[in-house]
Amino acid sequence: MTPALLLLPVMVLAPVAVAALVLPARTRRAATALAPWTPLAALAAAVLVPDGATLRLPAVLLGTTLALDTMGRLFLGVSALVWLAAGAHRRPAGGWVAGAAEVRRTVFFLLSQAGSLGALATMEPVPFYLFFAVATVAAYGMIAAGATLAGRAAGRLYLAIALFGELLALAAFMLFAAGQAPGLAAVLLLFGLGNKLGLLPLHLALAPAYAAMPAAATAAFAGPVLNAAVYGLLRFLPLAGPALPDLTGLLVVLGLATAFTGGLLALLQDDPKALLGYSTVSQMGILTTGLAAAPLAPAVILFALLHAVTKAALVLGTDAGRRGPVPLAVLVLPALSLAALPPAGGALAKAWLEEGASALPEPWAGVLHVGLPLTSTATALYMARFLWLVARKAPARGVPVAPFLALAATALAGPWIVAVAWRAAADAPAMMMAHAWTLVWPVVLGTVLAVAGWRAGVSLPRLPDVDPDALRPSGSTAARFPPAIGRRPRRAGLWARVVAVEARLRTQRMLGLVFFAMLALMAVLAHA
Amino acid sequence: MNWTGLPPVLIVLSSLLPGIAIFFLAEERTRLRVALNLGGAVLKMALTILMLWGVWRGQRFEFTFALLPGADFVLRIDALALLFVTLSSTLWLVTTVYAIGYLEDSPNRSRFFGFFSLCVTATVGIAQAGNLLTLFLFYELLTLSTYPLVVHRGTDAALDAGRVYLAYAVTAGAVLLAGIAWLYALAGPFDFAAEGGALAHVEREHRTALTAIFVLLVGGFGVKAALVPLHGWLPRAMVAPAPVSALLHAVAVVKAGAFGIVRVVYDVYGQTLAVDLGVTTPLAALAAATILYGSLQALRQDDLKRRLAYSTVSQLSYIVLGTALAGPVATIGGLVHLVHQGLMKITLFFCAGNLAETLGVHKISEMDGAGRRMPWTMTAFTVAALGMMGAPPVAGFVSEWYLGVGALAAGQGWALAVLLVSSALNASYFLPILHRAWFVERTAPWPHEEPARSGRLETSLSLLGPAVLTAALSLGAGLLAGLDGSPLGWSRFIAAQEFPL
Repeated sequence: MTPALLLLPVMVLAPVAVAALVLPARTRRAATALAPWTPLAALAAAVLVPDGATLRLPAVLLGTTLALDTMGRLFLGVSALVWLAAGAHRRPAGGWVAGAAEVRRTVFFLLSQAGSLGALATMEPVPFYLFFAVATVAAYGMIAAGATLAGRAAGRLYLAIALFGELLALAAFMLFAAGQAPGLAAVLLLFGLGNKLGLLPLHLALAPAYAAMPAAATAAFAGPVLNAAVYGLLRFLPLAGPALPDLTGLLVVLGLATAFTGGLLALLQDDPKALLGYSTVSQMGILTTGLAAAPLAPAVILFALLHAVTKAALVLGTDAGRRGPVPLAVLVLPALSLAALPPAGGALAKAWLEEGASALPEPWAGVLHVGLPLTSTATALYMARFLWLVARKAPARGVPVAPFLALAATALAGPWIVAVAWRAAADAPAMMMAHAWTLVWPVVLGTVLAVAGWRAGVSLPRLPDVDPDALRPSGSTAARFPPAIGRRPRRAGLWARVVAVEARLRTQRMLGLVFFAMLALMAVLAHA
Repeated sequence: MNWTGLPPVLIVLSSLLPGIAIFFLAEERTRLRVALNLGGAVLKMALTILMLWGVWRGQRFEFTFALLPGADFVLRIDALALLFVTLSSTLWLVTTVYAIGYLEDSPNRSRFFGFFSLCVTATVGIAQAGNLLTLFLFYELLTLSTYPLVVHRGTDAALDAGRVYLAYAVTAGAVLLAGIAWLYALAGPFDFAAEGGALAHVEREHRTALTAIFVLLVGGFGVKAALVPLHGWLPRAMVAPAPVSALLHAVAVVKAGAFGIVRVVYDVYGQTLAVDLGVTTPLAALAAATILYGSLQALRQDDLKRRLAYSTVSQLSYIVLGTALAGPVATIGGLVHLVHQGLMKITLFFCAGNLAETLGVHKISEMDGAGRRMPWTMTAFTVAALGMMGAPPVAGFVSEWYLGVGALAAGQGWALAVLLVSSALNASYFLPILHRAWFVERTAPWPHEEPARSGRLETSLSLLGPAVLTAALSLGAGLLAGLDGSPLGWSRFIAAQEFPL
């Protein structure tokens, strides 16, 4: 056993220990100062722990093994970077003499860090489930810590969906452990972890949650916490196997539907962070189509890593972009990378996904051939709105810029470094050249549409905030009986309909119906 | 009789003799009473640890005494008995400390602690009983010794709860006795036997009689195990003082019921015969119904202890479910939950008692901001509540994992669905409590703040210490479940004897 292996438990225990020290008033100041540095252990682990080295802890839970392989190492390194940037971003803003809400934020920030990092260092279901659950529950703390009405409502919505997901994931892992119904288990896991990705119809909580948190917490939630779920899908989803029913169609249709719904809803946001929440839904829809083909796993990894860094940079940019014209101009670059405009890093991952889609059977290859480029158009459109929203915000002083710049630089250069250093990604640049045209025209189209829409003064309806009473059994009558969709005037058009459906789904009754409908569908699937 | 007969008797006497002595103590002799209480509890702990070591090495301890011709009084320590003995004696020690702190300066303490000791005596007797007759004797002693504890406060509500408890328990005792008598008539006297049960010699044409007896026995034990619809006494009994609730819900009473069912299924009938008679599936269905019903009722309660009581109704049937699913993995899940549920539930009742004693908080709607006022109590509560929901790494997760995988392995996937729904329900009645305690700011004064309890700590050490300790044990039992000495390790050891490969 190499000593470097000890970094794996240390990287989990360090944030937990610091969180425990934040609680007593006596040690709070020192612990708060220490808090931004805890991800260093994870970063060191990602570099130093050799492949194939395993740390066996048979006493822990039902027996636990910690280890890193290439995938784990890549995820861990990127997550550690994003946690560092998020920690650095929040440090000066937090202040030393913190109120109750700030203490809660710090504690949950650190706990979800421990969970999201630990999840990447294990290849076994039970420890993964533990770490993932810690990250999930702690993320609720980050969302609801502020004790504002909107934050609490977002927290409740998030928690309802997240716990539903936890139970699905638990059922999936139990089915795997008992060696039964692998097809059902795969679908359970897809939604059990996929609710963090915002897979339809479990996408409802992401945007309100993004909006409810300060930028640093949102960046962590959008990067490492999300990536723990992606890692779990790649690690445990049996993507190919003789006993499995074909999930290709489900993944392609669900992925594209999620991508376009997310894109559409992103356009209707007034809060740039909420917009980024729906943007995550949209981007993860794209990622989900990549799960349809097992050989595409490296492309999905690259896409997920890149998304984490880019999205975190954009989130921090909602603060940093207010410091003046230069940070705002820099913010354009990760936005373009998200839209996969060559030669930005995003184009590498997107080209790889498009190339891999051709290997799928028809009609799915054809569907993706049309669908994937159009997702870039949607991205360009809502990113244009995002930049406009950030630019419109009042300028702010004293907001840190360095973490944002560091992440933006990583987002742009990182994929090229990975393409050079990681053998599996060596062909990505060539694919980008081959797909250059299908990468460029959607972004140009989106930009032209955005400019045209802005010049023509197109106004979009606004999605209302989550009703604070909507998730309480004793909530207001209006929340329990939301306006029926059918009763709207016929001219209400696509936008209004989308808004009405989304707002309605966020109420307790409809959310419950969604859960039961999903369970019923899966029960049918179990017997099919 | 050689020396191996001695330990089972000593374990019983270590609480019986101090208990009897305490009855004769004058009220004001506090220090002697505390010394007797703690001395007995520590002695019992020490004996238990010795026994664990012995049984792990393959030793068996048995004490036999001819009560009537053909009816032996048998105390025997096997692995299953020790699971329960260890749980009871550990939690008895903790609860004694808690009760001493809780009842400071209240009247009738000699009576209270006397019956308290008798109650634990009966419990370890039930655990070590080597046959149904011995089990029955201690089971009745348990009923008689808990009644005075339930009515200890002497209020109308307490007397009322006591009457209901007695009515349920005495009827159950009669049913149980009828079942045992019938079984003895059919099968002759017999001792418990692992590995296939004790009824192998009974002719197969007695199927109907055996089924009817099974119903009688499970009905008799089912009252204390709070199987729906026999659970009515338990939520009422929550008027008793907090240490009594801990005793009822974790250490002794409900556990005795569940343990009785476990003995009947494994060591009287044996799982093969039970499955063959077709009684396990209805029992599993009854357990599932109880799990869901208890949780649904808990959801409706605003009184904290009532909510916890209904939660016990629900959680206790996890043990019965694990037993009734009839498979090695589910068996481990059921057995380990016997311990896990005890650790987690006693923590919750200790915390409820701390809130009531220190701040006068009895209702969930009064708990806003409790986390800031009593951080250690609420941390302990949070750990236990998360465990009840089945969240890792608390002990409840380990139970749920084994029960769920066991259900699938036994081909009973529906039981997994029940468990997951129950987890969701647990989340929906525990999470709002946690949210109130940690996330909602306090705006009103506390209902009745007790100045004597506040000092350097948030409340008296004797109230806080036990809650924190049992919470730590709940966490440790889950986090370190892989150890041989963990509740899980021991349950695997037992299951290996019930299902020899």
